[in-house]
Parts: sequence; C-alpha cells; structure tokens
Amino acid sequence: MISTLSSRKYKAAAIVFWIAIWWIASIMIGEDLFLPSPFSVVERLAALMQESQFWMSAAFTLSRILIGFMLSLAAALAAAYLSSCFGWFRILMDPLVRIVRATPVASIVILALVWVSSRNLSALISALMVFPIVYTNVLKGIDETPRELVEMADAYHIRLMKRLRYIYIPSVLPYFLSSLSIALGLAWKSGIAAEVIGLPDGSIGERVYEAKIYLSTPDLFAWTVTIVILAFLFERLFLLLSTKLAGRMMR
Amino acid sequence: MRAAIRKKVFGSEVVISDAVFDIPEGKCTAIIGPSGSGKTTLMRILAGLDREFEGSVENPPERPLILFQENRLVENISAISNLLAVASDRRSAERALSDAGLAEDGAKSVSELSGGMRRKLAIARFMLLDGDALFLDEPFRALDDVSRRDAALRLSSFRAGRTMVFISHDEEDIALLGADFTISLP
Repeated sequence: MISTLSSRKYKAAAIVFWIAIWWIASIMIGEDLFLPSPFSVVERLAALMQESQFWMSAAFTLSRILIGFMLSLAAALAAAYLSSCFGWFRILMDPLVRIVRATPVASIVILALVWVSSRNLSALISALMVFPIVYTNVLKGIDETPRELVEMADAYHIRLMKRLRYIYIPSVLPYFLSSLSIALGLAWKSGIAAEVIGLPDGSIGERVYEAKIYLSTPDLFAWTVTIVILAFLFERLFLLLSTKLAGRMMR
Repeated sequence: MRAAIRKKVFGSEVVISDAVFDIPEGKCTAIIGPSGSGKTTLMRILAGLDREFEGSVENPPERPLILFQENRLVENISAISNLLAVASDRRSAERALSDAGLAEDGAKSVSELSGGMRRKLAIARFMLLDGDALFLDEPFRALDDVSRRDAALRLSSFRAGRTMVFISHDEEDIALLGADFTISLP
C-alpha cells in the first residue's frame, strides 16, 4: 500500500515528469510560437502578474464563475429535493436536464448571447453546465437513501430539518462531493469557453483570445496555467468547505 | 387492541391468514414462533407500519413506538448524532448515551461500533421517544447476558405501565421482560 507521503511524492514526480516532457518537446521544436518552453511560460506569467490588469481579469472571471456556480448549486439542490418529493416535478425536470446535458457548450453560448450581455455570459454558462451534474447526483443520493432509514424517520416522527441533517445529508454527501468535483472543473472550462466566444471586456477569456489573435503563444500558455491554478484552488477550497460544513452539520 | 387478519401476502406467499390477535391494553405480550412465521409482519401490522393486508386493526395505538429488529442507525455519522436525530436537546441525548453504557463512544462513527454497542444505541434512541404503546422486535439481539439484563431493566422501567408487544425466540427474554401473555405463531 502506498502511504500518503509516498503518494504525494509520486504525484509531484508525475508533474515533474510531464513538465520535463514539455520542456524536451519545446527544445526539439525550437520555436516559442508553436510550443513555448515551461521557463518562458513561467517568465511570461511572472511578468503578467506584475500588471494590475492581470488581477482584474482573474477577479472578473473568478467572480462570474463563482456566482454562476453558487446559483446553480442552490437551484440544483432545491430541484433535487423537490424531485425526490414530487413525482410530477421529477418528470418535468427530466427533459430539461437531458437537453442541457446533451447540448454543446458552444451552441448554448451563442444562443445565450442573444439573451444576456456578454459580461454575465460566463456566469450563465457555468450555471447551466453545473446544474445537471449536481441535480442528477444529488437526486441519486436521495434515491439511494436506505428505505429502512426513511421508514425509521417516519415512524419516529423526525422533523424535516433533522431528517435532512441526520438522514439525507449523510446519504447524499458522497454523491454531492463527487458531483462537485466534476462540476467545478466544468464550470471553469465552460465559463472560459463562453468568455472566449462572448469576449466580455476585462475577462480572462478576452485575454486568451487576444493572445491567440496576436500569436503570443507564451501568453496563451501563461493564461492557461493561470486558469488551471485558479480552477485547482477553487476546487480544493470548495471541497474542503463542503466537507467541513457537512461534518459540522452532522455532528 | 385487536387485529383480525384475513390474509397477508408477500408476493405469492401467504404469511398470515384467518387469524385474530388480541393485545390487552397496559399488558406485556410476547410474540413467539419459528423463523418465517410472520412475527415481524404481525408486529408491523399492529404498529400501523403495514397497512397492505386484508383485515382490520381495532383500537390501534395513537402513537405506536417501535424498536426495529435491524438497528436502523445512520452508519456514517457519530453515535451521539444518531441520538440527536430524535432527542429534544443535546443533554438528553448525552444522558441516554451514558445510561446505555456508551458515554465514551459518543464521537465514534456507528460503523466503528460492535454489534452489541449498536443494539444498545438503537435501544437508547428508542427510549428517547414517546409513545402510547411499545413494540419491540427482538430487543436483545446481539447483546450479551449482562447487557441483556441491564437493557431489560431499563426497558421495563421505560414502559411504565404502557402496552408492550415484543418478539423473542428466547424463553429467558420473555421472563426478563415479564410477559403477561404470549402469542404463538405456527
């Protein structure tokens, strides 16, 4: 069995391995336009971080994705709860969830541009992408709550809030956390894609697009690294907070 | 209380047919019988948890309280949280835990508890609730002799003159809970 420490070492080694492959590939290609080296990307990222615009763009995109994600999370939880209570609501939600899940992000983005300003596009797109994942998983978690426990809660007249806290949350939590991990990654991917298409002023998406237009590949990579880091931190923070919050609620 | 059951089926199997069961008010009644004879089914009908049968229950209890055969504890939360789910406040949950001899185990997850400890916890939760008739399905399952006697004493005290119906396979359990009547299922 691999210990946690050894596992971390292996993970770090895997990251170093792929960066080395990237570096070797960039030396072989020998042209920053096609593949910049990791060093030139880090150099460019360091330079970008000196600019106030960098932080403003990061804050703009982060805030939109966070708002979209939070609103979607709340809506998905409420909808999953209603679907578990009312069969007609579940039937009503089913086609909506299937359509949103199957529609390509680009189609939704272009359609959404007709309805909302490009400034709030990434919030809407992130929300739409997150909703079906969280809704489906949470509903599955509620459905999988042992019937014996539900019967026990009925027989003991356990009130709604306590029922949620001590019966449903422990059952739903593993499904919720698993959906959160997928949904957080998707929120970033779809949010940035929406910005690259909608080009809201001062967003990361706009900077990515500019880098592409001006053939500034190191900038493109630097922004991509920024997105990956932000998404990673966002995911870690959210999962940590969710686990802590749920743990405190069930205590 | 009187249950007149014309027919109770599970799938194609008839579990109870053409039987009348009288449960005297304020008395302790034991239901005995071999496995598969319908003891749990009869108890669920008496407690109002099973209404899918042909027949009727006269004078059913208004607030039946049942101790399930399976513990029905939430596995991935702590022992104390399982009690907090039904307790009016934390103090009464902690007292119930202590009375059950689990004072040191409150923070442990149910999955960390032994079979006997789980049963004690399920009994502790049952005794935090209120009802006008008590139904206990194999109450001492998984308990050792000492714990069994202790649980019987506490359950008898908790009963306080209320109607009690329990299922058991064990003659000693029937004596421990002081059954006034016995219903024997074939």
